[in-house]
Amino acid sequence: MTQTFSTQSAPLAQPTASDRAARRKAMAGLVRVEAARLTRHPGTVLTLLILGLVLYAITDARTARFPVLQDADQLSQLPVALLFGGAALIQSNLAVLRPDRHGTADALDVLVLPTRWRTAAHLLALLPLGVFAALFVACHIAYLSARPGAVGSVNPYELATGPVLVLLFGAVGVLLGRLVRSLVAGPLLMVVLAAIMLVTVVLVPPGTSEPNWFLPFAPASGGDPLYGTASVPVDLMTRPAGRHLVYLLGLLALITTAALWRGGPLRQAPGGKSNRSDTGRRRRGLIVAAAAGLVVTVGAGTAQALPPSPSIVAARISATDRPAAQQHCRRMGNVTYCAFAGFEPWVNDWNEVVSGVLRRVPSAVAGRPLAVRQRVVAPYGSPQNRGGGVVSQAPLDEWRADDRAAGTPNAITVGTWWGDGWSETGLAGRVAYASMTGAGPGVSGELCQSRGVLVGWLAAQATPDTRAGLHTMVEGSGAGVAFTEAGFGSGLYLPERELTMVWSLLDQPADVVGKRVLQHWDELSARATTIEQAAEILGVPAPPAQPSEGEQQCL
Amino acid sequence: MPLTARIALALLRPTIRATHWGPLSATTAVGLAIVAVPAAFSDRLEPGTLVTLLRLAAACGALGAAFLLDDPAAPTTMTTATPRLLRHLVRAAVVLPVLATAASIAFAIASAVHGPGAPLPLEDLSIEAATLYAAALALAAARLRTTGDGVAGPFAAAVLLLAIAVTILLPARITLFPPPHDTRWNQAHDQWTAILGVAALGYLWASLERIPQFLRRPRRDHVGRSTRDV
Repeated sequence: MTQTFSTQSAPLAQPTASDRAARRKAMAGLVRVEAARLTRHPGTVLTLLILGLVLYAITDARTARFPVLQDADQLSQLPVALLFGGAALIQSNLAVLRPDRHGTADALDVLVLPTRWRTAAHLLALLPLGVFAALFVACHIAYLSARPGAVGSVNPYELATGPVLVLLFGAVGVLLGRLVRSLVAGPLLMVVLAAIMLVTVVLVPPGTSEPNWFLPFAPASGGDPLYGTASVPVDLMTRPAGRHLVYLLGLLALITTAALWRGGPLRQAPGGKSNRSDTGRRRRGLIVAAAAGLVVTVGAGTAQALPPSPSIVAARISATDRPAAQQHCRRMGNVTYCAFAGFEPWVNDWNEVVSGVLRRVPSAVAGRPLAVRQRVVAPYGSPQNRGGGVVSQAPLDEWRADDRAAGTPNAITVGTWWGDGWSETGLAGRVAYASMTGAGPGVSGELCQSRGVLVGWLAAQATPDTRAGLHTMVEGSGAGVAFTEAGFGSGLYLPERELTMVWSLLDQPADVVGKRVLQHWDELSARATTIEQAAEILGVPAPPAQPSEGEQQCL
Repeated sequence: MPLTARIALALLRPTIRATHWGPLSATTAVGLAIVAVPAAFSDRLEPGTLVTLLRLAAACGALGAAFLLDDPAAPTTMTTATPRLLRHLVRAAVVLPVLATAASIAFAIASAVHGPGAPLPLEDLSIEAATLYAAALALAAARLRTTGDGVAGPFAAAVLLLAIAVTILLPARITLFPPPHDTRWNQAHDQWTAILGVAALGYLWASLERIPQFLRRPRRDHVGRSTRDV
């Protein structure tokens, strides 16, 4: 009896060529069915809808109007990985476990398709999900690239990371189904992955620690001047995006091989010699694939943790200290605008703000040559890509020397961000202050009395955006506002009393106030003129004096 | 003693034996690890981080709870005289102390690593955890109404995860997961309490026996047998 009913479910004979053709056909059919089930599952459809909402929500107003594409291309990675990748993991896990759930696992052994081929079919069925993810990412970045304010360029490796993560997570779901029969393992692994992501990316304040590239998730480089991180020009980026993608592909190869290895008995069939050699060949194939995957994973994993090349570090230092050499300048009227490569489209937007300020100052003042230069603090070792969290000191002396050498002395700073309100109003405020004093970069202090009111009004009335920006700044900072210099330095501080008067001036018709400003420019812009005198000249009530803490040190 | 109470008592031991404790043990262990591992590797965790970790641990526990109503014997118990509501109440009475213990252990770990200062808002966090557990059980019970094979865990777990994902993504104005000391904290926890009530009522409603369509209107198949006999 025991000889007749062997408990081993080994293939009884070497498959013939026609068997293999039949298997291939059957596998193709299974791939089609499983792919359709995965993509048409209500969970997948719902996740896609939610993903769309999430992408809409994380693409804030600034990114939607003035996207820096080398940062925006990473925006979709985390949501795509967590939501769509999570759906792929759970669904592929459930699909692999379907025979176990429905008690049909034993019945499948009599079918034409061995377990390993079915595992392969489950893995191939993930491809449409990857395509969907790629379409989503492509639509998102295509929309951003088409914005008139888009600058910089897209890194295809960053774009490919999201879809590859979806495939990776789906393959993990297949492997998990072959390792553990429990249905809770898939959802549980997703919560664990979310926990790892929260602890390593979300709960970590930006710029306080080096991203860990060995995890599938890395924080986006997206600069945020408020946090002391800034977007940098494309050729200064140090993200190992390509190596990270290769690392993820290596992991995908490893996990796929592991799933196939677990996906069927590699026991030798009690058949002839040819059968044994066939099993051995398949085993060798898997071993070779696993070894190749391991080499790629370890190689790319090590490479992505290497420090950036010395030439990039040198370029970053030089861009920080002596930006003029890496910039193109454009003259509009008597204002020279210098921007890093890729940021040129913003010159028109800068010019709009600058001319909005200059049309309200006397023509003798507005006619003086003025320069606006884009600056970034990005040496290797800054919070952009290194721990510390402390914004390095702006190299003011180098900047002044660089400006003089480039023939644009005392150039006003503009950052690598635009469209958030702070940037526009900050630039307008610094232009207004420079028109009175001729000051260059690095001025910080309190803008008070008449001069403060004048700077605040000139800045706020320049464009509708700067006026909205002043509102944003007040919401963000409370009493007074600071025209910071692209995120570094303390900037020009406008105290609450002066700000109150700026609001009452903004309620008056701009042309009426502008006329009085032109008539009394010398008095209003003088350092000694008090806020009461300014109120009398401009015909608005002076805000009540506040109990001051010590003597004001006005600029 | 009324008959129902006696049946419930008699059901206790078989229910304990029939409950799938495996998923709950796994998820509880992982949930505790989510709190304990960062606590072990970091000298001091911010209250905000601790609260997030406790919420993740509660989500893990709720995933396990989603599988607690799974019952491969459902096709047979469907025909017993004991109503499903009673069986589910006994099931809840059996699993709730275990869930409460798991949450308490997580809270104890978090309190141990929490530095001096304002204590963690554990009462409110326990309402959140209870709501997640109740929602998982309610979802599983609702699934059992429509399926005959007694497997509700995967559905309940997936819906729960999606619901949590959507809740996390709510804008800060209406978020249900505010950071501690947020102005929305108290309001959010009033809402959590309301959701807890809804989930508990939902569990009770979903546990009411639903007589399947084919039992309500007996039809004859082609042999002339009633489908009831099958």
